[in-house]
Amino acid sequence: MWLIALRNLFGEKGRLVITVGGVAFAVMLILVLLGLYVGWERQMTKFLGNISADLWVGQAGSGDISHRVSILPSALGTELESKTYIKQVSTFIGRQVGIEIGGVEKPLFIIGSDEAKFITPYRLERGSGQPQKGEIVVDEVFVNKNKLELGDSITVAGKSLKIVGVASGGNIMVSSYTIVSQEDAREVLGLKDAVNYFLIRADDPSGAMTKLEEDFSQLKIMPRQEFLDNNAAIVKDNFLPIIGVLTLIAFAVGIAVIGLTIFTAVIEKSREYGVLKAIGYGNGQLFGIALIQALIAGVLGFALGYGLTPLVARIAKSFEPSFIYELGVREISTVFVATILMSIIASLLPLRRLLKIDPAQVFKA
Amino acid sequence: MAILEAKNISKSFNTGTHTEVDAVSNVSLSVEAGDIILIMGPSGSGKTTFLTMLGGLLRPSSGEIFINDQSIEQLSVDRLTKLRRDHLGFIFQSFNLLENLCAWENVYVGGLGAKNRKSKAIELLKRLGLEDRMHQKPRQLSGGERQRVAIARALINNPPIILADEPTANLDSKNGFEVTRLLCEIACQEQKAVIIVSHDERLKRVAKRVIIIEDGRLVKEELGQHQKYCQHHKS
Repeated sequence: MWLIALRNLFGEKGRLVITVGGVAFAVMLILVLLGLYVGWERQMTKFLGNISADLWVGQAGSGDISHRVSILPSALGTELESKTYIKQVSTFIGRQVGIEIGGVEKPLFIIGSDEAKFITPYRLERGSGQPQKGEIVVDEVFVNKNKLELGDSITVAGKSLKIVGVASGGNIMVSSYTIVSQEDAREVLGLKDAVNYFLIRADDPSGAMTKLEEDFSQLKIMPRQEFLDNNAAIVKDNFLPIIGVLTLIAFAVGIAVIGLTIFTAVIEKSREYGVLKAIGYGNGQLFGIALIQALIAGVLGFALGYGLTPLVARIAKSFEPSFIYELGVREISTVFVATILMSIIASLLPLRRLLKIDPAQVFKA
Repeated sequence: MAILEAKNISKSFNTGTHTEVDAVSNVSLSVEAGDIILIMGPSGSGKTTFLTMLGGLLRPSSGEIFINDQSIEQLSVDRLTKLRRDHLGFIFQSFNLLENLCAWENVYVGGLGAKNRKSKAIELLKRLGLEDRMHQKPRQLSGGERQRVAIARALINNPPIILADEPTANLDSKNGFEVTRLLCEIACQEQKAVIIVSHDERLKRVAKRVIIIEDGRLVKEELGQHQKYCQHHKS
């Protein structure tokens, strides 16, 4: 079976190239989409995950920084600081705003820095990470997309801010995180005596959480991971269904490419399959020949697609700097299993045809 | 003792509304080891249909076929496939080699289930004078060479019965003679039953019995010239 499958597959080089290329395209599409999804999901929490708070304290019903935003009075901070089970309290002030660059409105997530330095850039690439009044630290994707330089100024809500630092890890596709001084943040976001969240450090975070819930039952107390998960869920809820549909389409393309090739090969070689039936090959063995061909085409297509994906991602990133792509072993294994599945399903397409081949046809000249 | 026996077999085909054509009518045949039977008749007389039924590739409308005393009518598709593999070797008019496989590989794939089939395939090709052509693809072989590869494929499982459909039709006289000689050798030296369907009168020289089929009916049976030809071959 292996001999016939290998010879049939490699004997038709043109068809093999088209099949492997088609599967590679499907694999590449799935890997890029998954890479994009994983990249987004991780990117969404990269900056927030770098904020060194054990607990996030927000308004009841709040949960993230985009959809369920909290607003609390600043005075509550003093009350929180008085609790002995809390080690340190800081504030999070942040909201997305629109700024105009070159006549086009761009979204930017403005975050106020804090004295306790809970909030720092994910990774400072150049300049300063601690903006003073009238200064801003922006993400490198924002800088590159808008052709800005260190030392340039941007205007946020009528206030001119000078770029003093460029950081990475703050790009979240639809916007990017920037840090300004607490005073500037209050001014441009209009939060004079209010904060969005209080950030808490505690020696015993879970114990502190229980006590906070008892002492401040009207507030929402979230452990760090829960707050990160809530923010990651924004990507999951909004983009996962789209990614899922596109992945299914790519999966179907893969099945169609392998299936059509194997189906065509079976039709083209139906006389040879008839000969094999006549000389004693069973239907199972003939299906085995088709399955082996589909699996080899699938594995070769996966290898090519996997090899080309980083290259395609790099090209995509050169065109669109905010393109984020990250792949782990789990995603790669999933796509490999999907490719094997594609091959198995594809090999079933010519099954009916194989079963119908009449071995008696071999006696026709 | 009969190694293959056909008892009153008939085959009708439905060719349209309420129209049935009798391709084979009530034909019987008994074949023993070492027999060489030549089935002759005009085109469309039903001889290939008869051979196809003997090979278990087509079920008769009535009658019974026995191979090694076993009625093949009662066999499941899988068991019939296995019976074909173990008991029958096929040689076709158009060779029917797998075009992507070289000569030895074509013989090799015919030996499904056989032990040491690669060495057997090579041995058979050497015996048939193809030691220099083993790695050639069918398209690189002449008609005679292709038919010898097909004969090797038919022999690799060492089946007791060889069924050959017009084995010399696509060959020139020299290659036709060589294939004829090989079929005679297979029957005489290996005691295999060889059943040949052909228009080729030259094959009468190797046949022990000649059967004439016309309009699906066995109309005549005569002795072939095997004795004479075989002696000539030995000399």
